[in-house]
Amino acid sequence: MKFAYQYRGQLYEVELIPTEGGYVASVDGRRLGQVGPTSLDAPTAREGRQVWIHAAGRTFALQRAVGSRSGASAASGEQTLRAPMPGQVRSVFVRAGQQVAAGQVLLTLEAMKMEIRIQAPGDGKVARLAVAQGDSVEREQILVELESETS
Amino acid sequence: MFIHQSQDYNCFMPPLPFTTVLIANRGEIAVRVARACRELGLRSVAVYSQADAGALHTRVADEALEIGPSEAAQSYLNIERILDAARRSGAGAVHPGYGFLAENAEFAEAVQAAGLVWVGPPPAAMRAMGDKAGARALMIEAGVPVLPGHQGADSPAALKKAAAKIGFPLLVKAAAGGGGMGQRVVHKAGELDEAIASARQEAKRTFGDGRLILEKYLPRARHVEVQVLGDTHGKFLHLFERECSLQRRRQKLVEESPSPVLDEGLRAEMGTAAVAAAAAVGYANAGTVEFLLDPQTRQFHFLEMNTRIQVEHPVTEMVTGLDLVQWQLRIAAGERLPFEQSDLRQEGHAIECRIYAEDPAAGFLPGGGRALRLQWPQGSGVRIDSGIAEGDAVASSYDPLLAKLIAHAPDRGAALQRMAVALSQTVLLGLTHNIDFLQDLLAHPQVAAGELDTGFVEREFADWQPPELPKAALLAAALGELRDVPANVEATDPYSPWASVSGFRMGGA
Repeated sequence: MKFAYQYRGQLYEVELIPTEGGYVASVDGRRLGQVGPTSLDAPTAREGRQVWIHAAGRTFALQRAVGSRSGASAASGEQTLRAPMPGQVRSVFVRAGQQVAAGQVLLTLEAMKMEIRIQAPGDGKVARLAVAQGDSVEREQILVELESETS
Repeated sequence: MFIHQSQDYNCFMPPLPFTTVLIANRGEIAVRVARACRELGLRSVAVYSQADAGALHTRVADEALEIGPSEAAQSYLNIERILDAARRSGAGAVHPGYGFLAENAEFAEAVQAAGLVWVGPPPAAMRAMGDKAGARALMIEAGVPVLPGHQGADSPAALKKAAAKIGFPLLVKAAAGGGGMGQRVVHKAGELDEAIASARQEAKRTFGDGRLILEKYLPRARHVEVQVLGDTHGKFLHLFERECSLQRRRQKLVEESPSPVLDEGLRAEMGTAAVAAAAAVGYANAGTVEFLLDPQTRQFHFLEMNTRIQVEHPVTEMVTGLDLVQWQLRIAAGERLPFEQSDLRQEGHAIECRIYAEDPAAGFLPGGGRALRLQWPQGSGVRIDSGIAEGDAVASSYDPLLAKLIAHAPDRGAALQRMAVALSQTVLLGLTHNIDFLQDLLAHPQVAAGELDTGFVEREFADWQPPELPKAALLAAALGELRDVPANVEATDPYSPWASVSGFRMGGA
């Protein structure tokens, strides 16, 4: 199973492959080794697409990247990227129809004085650009729809 | 002698003239007052706005009454509704906490006029200290050192003339003000006109009173305040100092007692000045005299007196062993203070961290949310004064203070160490808070060395960012999603990882 998260504008992909007694874990394609289902004693909480983790004495608020799972499960081939928090579109770097590569920055948002980079979760094509530079967006508002290459 | 009041004084306590206390506040201080009431065998009555229905302070009190909609003006600031709740609940006394109506002399008078006991200072003392211009004049008369400044005639011409005499930088301050409202720092003469005009406008708008005063501005000063306690029989004592120099947006973040810079001589001098300040206005009950301390000259100057319990009162409680809120109630009941100044001392070192629902990476912008998971640290010398419990929603309509974490240890180094561990073991998930920020702040070498001033946080931590994401956190997030299907993931979400996990739950979950 693959999970994609955003933290401080960066996209991270975690893959857990079930094995005997646990999983083989990879982050961004780099294999980390085997973990048991409860081997990380880190409290977590979820609400909507927000995931909170308490690890190493610190608190991390991640956004589950929407529709960013690539590979066999992305049956529809469509991926929708939404605003992780209310803000304003600062810059748009792509046009509709443009081919994009995984990790490419599609646009940036300014929210609560932070710059948030919205990146392509996988290779694909911009099917629809739902916002323009200067637009105000609500949390969860659709920003970009991508058509995945590997469908 | 370290005062263990439960052993030494409580057993001789005469019966109080009231049995029910209405708490005209919310959040952690309402919870704190309810606990003091319970320990004294008093019944407590909480009040709440519609936004606070079911909040922790309504659950810990013996009774809770709704007093109106979420807007504070129609609930926590509404004198009539609060007095009505007091009548309905049969309360014999009102404790105002801090903020809201706590320093409103009209409220205190209305409480007394309704035949109830006001748990606070005499309204006349509140009024005398609430007026910054009048308080400055009174302090000068009482021999309490004040900053070079000017109060009285406040036409632009008079202020300009006074400013030239005081020198720059200086502060233009609202005479009726407090909390940094109607306040401007002026660095040179050319900025004065604009500062006077804008401060006057803000003062008029906020306090309905445009009078201004001037004070010399000390850019690297320390905020050191002295806790005073007076009974209604004329006895005044001080409970030593609290250092509160770590602030952001002129609001305190971390407080401690003792201050790392005071020596015995300066401590005694400031304590005496604080008692003189309280006596000058006929004070009674708990109050705090705030001073600015110039670390170069080691001179201290009266800033203002807060005529109520302070947020940071626990650090004083930890080092003196006295329960300040219990003493507020006992003094209001007419009890005499049974100890002398020479009985009191500071035992060990206590530090308090204020846990706020705010984003330190985005200008400390306050926010709301829900405490989906909440686990407080434990251990000897660790105290939590919280206004929330796990599962509670945090309304963004009020002050973003969620809780206070207090660490007490034999010395400052050990207290800092204890606090660092306590902060790292605090689990609060579901809303943005400042716990990581506090950890980084306390780990700064200058904080460890005790070299603090009121501009330190904004100077050193303006660009603070949340910590780098460890791989372990990512794995925990993913494993957490496998462990149990969250109730709030819509089954129809085609992008949910559960779409592919159904019928595939992993062993050991």
